[in-house]
Amino acid sequence: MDKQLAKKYLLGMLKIRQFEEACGRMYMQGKIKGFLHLYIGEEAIAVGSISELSEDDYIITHYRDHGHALARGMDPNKIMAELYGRVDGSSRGKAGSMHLFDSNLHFMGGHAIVGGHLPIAVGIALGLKKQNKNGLVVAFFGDGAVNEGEFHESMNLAALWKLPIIFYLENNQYGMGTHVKRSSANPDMLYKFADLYGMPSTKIDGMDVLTVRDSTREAIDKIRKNNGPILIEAMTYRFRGHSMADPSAYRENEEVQKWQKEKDPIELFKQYCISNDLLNESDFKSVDDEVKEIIQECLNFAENSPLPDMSVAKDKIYNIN
Amino acid sequence: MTEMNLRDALSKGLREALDTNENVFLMGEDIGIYGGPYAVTKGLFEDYGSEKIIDTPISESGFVGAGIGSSMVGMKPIIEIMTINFSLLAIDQIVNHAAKMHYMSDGQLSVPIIIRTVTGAGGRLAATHSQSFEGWYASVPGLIVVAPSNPSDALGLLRASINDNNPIIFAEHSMLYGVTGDVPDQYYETPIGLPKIIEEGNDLTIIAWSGMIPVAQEVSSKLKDKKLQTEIVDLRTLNPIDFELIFNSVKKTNKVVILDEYWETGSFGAYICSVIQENCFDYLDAPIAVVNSLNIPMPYSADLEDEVIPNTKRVLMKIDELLGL
Amino acid sequence: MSEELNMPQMGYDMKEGVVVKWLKDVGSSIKIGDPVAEIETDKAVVEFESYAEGTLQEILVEEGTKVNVGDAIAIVGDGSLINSDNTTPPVTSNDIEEDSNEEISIASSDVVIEEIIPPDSNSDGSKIKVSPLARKLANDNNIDLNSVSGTGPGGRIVKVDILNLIEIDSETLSSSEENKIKIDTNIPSIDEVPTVLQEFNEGNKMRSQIARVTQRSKQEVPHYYLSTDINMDKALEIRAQINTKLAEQNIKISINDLIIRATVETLKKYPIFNSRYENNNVIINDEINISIAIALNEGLIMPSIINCNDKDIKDISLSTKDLVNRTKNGKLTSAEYTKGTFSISNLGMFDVNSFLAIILPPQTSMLAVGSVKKTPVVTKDDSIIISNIMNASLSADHRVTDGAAGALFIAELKNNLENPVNLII
Repeated sequence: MDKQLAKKYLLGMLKIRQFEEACGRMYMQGKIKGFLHLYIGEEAIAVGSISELSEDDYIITHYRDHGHALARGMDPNKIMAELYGRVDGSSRGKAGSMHLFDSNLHFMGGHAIVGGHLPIAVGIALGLKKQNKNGLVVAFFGDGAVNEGEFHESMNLAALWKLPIIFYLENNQYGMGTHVKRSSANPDMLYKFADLYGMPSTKIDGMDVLTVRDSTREAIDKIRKNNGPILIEAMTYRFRGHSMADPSAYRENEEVQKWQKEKDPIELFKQYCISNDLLNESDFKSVDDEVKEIIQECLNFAENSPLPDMSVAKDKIYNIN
Repeated sequence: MTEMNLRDALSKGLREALDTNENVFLMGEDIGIYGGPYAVTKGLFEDYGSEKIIDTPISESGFVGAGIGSSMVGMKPIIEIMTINFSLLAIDQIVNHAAKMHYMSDGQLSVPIIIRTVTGAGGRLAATHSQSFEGWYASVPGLIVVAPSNPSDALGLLRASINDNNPIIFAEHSMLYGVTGDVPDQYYETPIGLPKIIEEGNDLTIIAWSGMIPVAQEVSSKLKDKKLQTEIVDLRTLNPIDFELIFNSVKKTNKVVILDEYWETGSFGAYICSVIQENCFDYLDAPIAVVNSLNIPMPYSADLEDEVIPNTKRVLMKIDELLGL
Repeated sequence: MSEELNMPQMGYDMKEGVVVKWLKDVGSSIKIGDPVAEIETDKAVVEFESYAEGTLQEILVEEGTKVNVGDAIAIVGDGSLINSDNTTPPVTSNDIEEDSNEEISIASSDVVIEEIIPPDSNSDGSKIKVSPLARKLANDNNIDLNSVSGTGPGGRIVKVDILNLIEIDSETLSSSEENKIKIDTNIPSIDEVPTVLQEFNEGNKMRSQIARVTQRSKQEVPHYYLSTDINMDKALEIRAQINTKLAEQNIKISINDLIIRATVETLKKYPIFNSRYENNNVIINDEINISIAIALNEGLIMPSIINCNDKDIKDISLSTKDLVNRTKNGKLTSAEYTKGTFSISNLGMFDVNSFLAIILPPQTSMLAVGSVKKTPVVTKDDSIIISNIMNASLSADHRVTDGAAGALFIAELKNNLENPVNLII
């Protein structure tokens, strides 16, 4: 770990944090509509894992997708414009928060049906394998998805066909408002599902960006060697509600505050940087300034982008090429 | 011209695709070593091997999704869902993912998959194995649905589907695999979306597709006894549809019967009916008759099943009742 | 006792199979479950295990033969063949119905009752049933649906019912912008023509329409009549002058043209006669479209010269000739069929002195003119001269006008024709 890398991780996480905070504000101002699921609290997973991927690799994720998109390097302007429903958005305002795509970055979408993108992850890996391509697939999903049949079908297919996939379980402990203890029969052992499919798996602290990074690196090495899937269960916590509409009646404020105080991935990493003499307060300040500029720019960009007209709505229903 | 049955026409098309397009592969339940539940893929595993002909677990959502994913990175999967009844287990993949990917990514991604599946009743397979859901899928923007009724259309539409870049539901009727017909020896494609007039007449138009075509033909031959000339329009494709041809037929005959093997309530035939009455109201000389399967889960016993599916007798009665012919 | 071995069903969609190979010879003994033959289906070659026991007595089909499912392929047993006719199939409710003569007779009498339901039940105040196409055709051709009997299901008025009442040339209609309906006149060959269409072809159609229209007019419209003699001397004189002048343009004005022109001027003064009576309302038409009676071999037809308001005598003459030509060639537009506002019937060429015309609803009046005849006339100074006299009779709808109004109208007409200079300047 050097100063430059430390700065990169901090910037990556802070960019997500402030982007999401800006989204929350803009949502409340009515600039952003529909469902908005914020990634605040979970930034270490996206940044720690995606920073290990190469250009050849593919990412597919769930509807809480801003963090992954930003970590992959997707243009914040395009994302914010999409959230604003503007014509310069990544899908020209047709898809919104839950469905970000950037095929050039192999970012194969946020997908809004719980577990529905996992068979597709299998397919992407199958396609890569059939074409003898180098890439692997990282599929992010939550603790809610493990109770979907599609999760198990996908795990079985990936293992059966020995496909290069990391099943990245972001266990933030709540499927919407239902705690994992109320939805899973063996809630502390979700990663053990992999055993049934003869798949290696591990459970890690998802609030520590370096743990995430190391586990991901290890998994990638294994996959490149064995060419079979791996499951990583990263324990995390979302500091905000499920979506902006969340009344948060299902968990105590004390619980949220405890996580924020003790496990905030950004604060933890800052402490690490200070105690290892990597970054100091003035470095933090300069990173913070840089991020603030990015966020302000994407808000301006979105605000100034025109609304799409009906010709956009009617376009790209079918591929006519 | 070569005479062959519909099954062999499809088999020919699949082999062509495998021979000419390196990205084509087939997957589905028991399509390989077993030889295909309807024998369409018989012999392919032996000739093309397990890389091209993939036997999948019984995980409809899983392997349909896998097909979708592979197509997003350049493959051209031809997926077989054993019957359209089992496609319900994959409906999330088909409707929420395959149909939406191109649109929601604003054209960044495409899903050029073909889902071959078996529709229709008639085999005494009872309620869960005798349904005709192609009309459902045809209602979803982003999906293409084709439903051929004869060998030459089956091959022509399969070729067109292989060259198309959209998700396609390719509905094959279980009772039509043995139907024989002439298939041109030269390469041709049947355009997606274009209905075909398979019998010309001036007195009434029957619109049908897939397994209802033989019924339409039998009705037509019965009406000849009454000196009536029936025009039969085979839709061939349920989405998209070039309605011009249908409108022109209606304007000529002024009387329309639609045959749809789906239930009466919410049927695709009823949709066709509504489009016709909106566009051809002043040309109609009688109510449009839509003949569906009765609103009954398909009973097993042969006589009962025959009564539930639209049959010649019931269609003729309806024609008498509504059209006065 | 012997038993047939039949082509087995090996899959619900199997309709036939091929006996690829016999695994047993005639005379060999067979137990239930023994493979006796290899059968090829669409999907595979399968061994056929016997469901009968005994000696293979006879092989009925050679190897390589295609056989329908259920047909016999061999006979197994040790005695006589079981006659399958002796086996009684289970009786179903359908069988009972089909076998019962009583049921059938009831059913067919139901059908008869259905057919004699009065086709048009509007007499009891209920809505007339009419197909959209028939309604449009009737509308376009000014046909009152109340007067049409429907022959469709439940008495619905359908296309053929309207076609029986009108003659419409498909080319004319398709070329007319006002009427986009194209009637298919591709009549099938004679032996395929349904009965109704045969009647249509025999030319009764125009007659039946005339019958219908005149009958209805006479029944519904209270006619009154006024007659006068018109001195046509000046009209003939001015006509001769005009024709001399127009000779190089090859235009020839007829007496009838002058009558039309005079009528138009009269209608401008008394527009109540240029009206239509609809749903107990009188509507005065802005356009003056003069219908003229043209006799065809098939009967009388009353097409109209559209918008005569501003036509001079030359225009009237040209329009009339054109209309007559197109009528004879069957090239009228639907407006010319349906948009007339006042009719003139002229039987002058038939040496008719005078006659009374039947009004063509929804028009409210009609003029009938006879021959122009040299007649001795007593002048104002009591001398007798010979003049060209023509009788004109107005038929008018008493619901719309009274005799006095009619008298003014016909006097004005007389005045216009006797002082024809008004008609050309």
